Amino acid sequence: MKRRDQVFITMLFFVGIIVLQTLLRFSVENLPQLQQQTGIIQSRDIDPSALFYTDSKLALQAEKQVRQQIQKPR
Amino acid sequence: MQQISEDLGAIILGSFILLAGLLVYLVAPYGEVREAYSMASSLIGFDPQFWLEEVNTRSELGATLSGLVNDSRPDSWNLNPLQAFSLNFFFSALPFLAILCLLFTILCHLMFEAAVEFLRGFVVVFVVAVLAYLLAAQIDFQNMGIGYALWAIMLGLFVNNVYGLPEFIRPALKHELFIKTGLVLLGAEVLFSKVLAIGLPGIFVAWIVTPVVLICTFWFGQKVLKMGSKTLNITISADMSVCGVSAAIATAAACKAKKEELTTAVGLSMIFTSVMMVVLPALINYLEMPEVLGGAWIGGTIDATGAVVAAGAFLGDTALNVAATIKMIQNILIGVLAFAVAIYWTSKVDRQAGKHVGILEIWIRFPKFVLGFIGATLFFSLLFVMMDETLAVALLENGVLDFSADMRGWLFCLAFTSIGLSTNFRELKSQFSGGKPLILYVCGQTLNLSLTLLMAWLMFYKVFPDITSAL
Repeated sequence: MKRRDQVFITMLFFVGIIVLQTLLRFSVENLPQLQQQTGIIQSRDIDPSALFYTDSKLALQAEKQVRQQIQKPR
Repeated sequence: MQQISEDLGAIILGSFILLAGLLVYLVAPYGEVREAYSMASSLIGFDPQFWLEEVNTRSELGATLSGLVNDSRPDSWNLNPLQAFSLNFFFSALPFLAILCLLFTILCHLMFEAAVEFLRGFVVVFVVAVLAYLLAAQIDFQNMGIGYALWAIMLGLFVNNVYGLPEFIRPALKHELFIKTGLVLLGAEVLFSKVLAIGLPGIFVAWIVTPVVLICTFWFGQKVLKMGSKTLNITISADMSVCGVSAAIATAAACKAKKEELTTAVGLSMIFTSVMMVVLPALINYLEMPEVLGGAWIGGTIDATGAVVAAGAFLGDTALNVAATIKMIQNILIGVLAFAVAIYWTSKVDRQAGKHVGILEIWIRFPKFVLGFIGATLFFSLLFVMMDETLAVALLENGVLDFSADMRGWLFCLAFTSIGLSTNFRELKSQFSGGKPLILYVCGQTLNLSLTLLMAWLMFYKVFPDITSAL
């Protein structure tokens, strides 16, 4: 690939990342659903990209709470 | 000395990491933590949950090791990426890189490969993996669940296809070794004792619907869509029906799928997960669905655990708890899935037409790392049930498994970076011919959404309403 093309595609790649980030931010600021969800994610320190249950402290806590609730004598 | 295979290398390295974790996080602090626990539990009104949050269960060495692994990843940042690099990052990343280099040097010797050549390239792979973590740590991307896996592939693809890959990096592109080692570590995190967390409704939603959807989607891909590649078909079917990226990795490794096929499955899963994380809770709210039903629906259908937690939290605490627990039970299916796919592929798919495949041949073709995965699952599941539950959570879940999860994250990130760095755009583009992978994912997910909702409603509201009322 020519040097000129490499520079162009590199710029396009970085601009693409910035545009994606700007679009996401714009959506969060203007769509109430996203705004509310992002607020919850930040306030509860959730990592939405966690792949497995051991990657998420909230998931581990959730399982313990569910078990406690089910085992609680009624 | 005999040369060892990549699978055996992965089992050795994975076992070594788990053994180190056991020594540092279980054996070393055991006496002290047990004493603290006996004292605390003798007090009136003892609350194990509160004790777990308050007590320090890590030895000094454990805290240092966790610091190295965790702090080697850039911090969260908003607009200025330089904010992500603290001084602590450099003090952690360099020793951590040195430790990885040492481990892989030993492994290269065991595998009769040139360690120096591997290490020269590995430093570059590590730097690109750090950059993938950097992009994943950007707050807006983080909030939408666009994690390191996608960035690692994208950055690798960009470097390889725009600038071309320098020859000295190639010996370090061992994505299969990284994946298999990561899977051995993942095996330790699959604890069978968690299966009954929410009782029978959870089993029905996660362990009955999921295999049915997986088999139907695979059948649909073969018979109706006539997918060109069975390995791509099963990887997408597993990633959509079980638990996204981790299931895709396990299945792809078990059936020896091409790296482009894994990339396709991971890309589809991450895009749909981000969309479903926002759309599904909005739909549940619109339909005014009860929290337990909504949570079970989310847990059974959204791919990644983090996105499940985020979507569940939007509906409320009950929905979050149910969603995360259903997803956790589904996560545990991953070991059974990897084993079943490996057996099916070696005995049915890879055999020559009309030829009987004997046990010996199945054993020769069987991907041996799966045994490491299952061995780790059995060992840690047994250890977990043998220990006092609170101590097991304190020392195993919050200690050994927390460390192994971080190490597994690094190994998967290195694997996806290697995949990106060795993939050609043209090869990747050919996977999408006719849009079949997309159609397969959408059709499979539609079936998954319908069956999971039906089963969740039946189980939580008709068959076991007492469990629902307890939640």
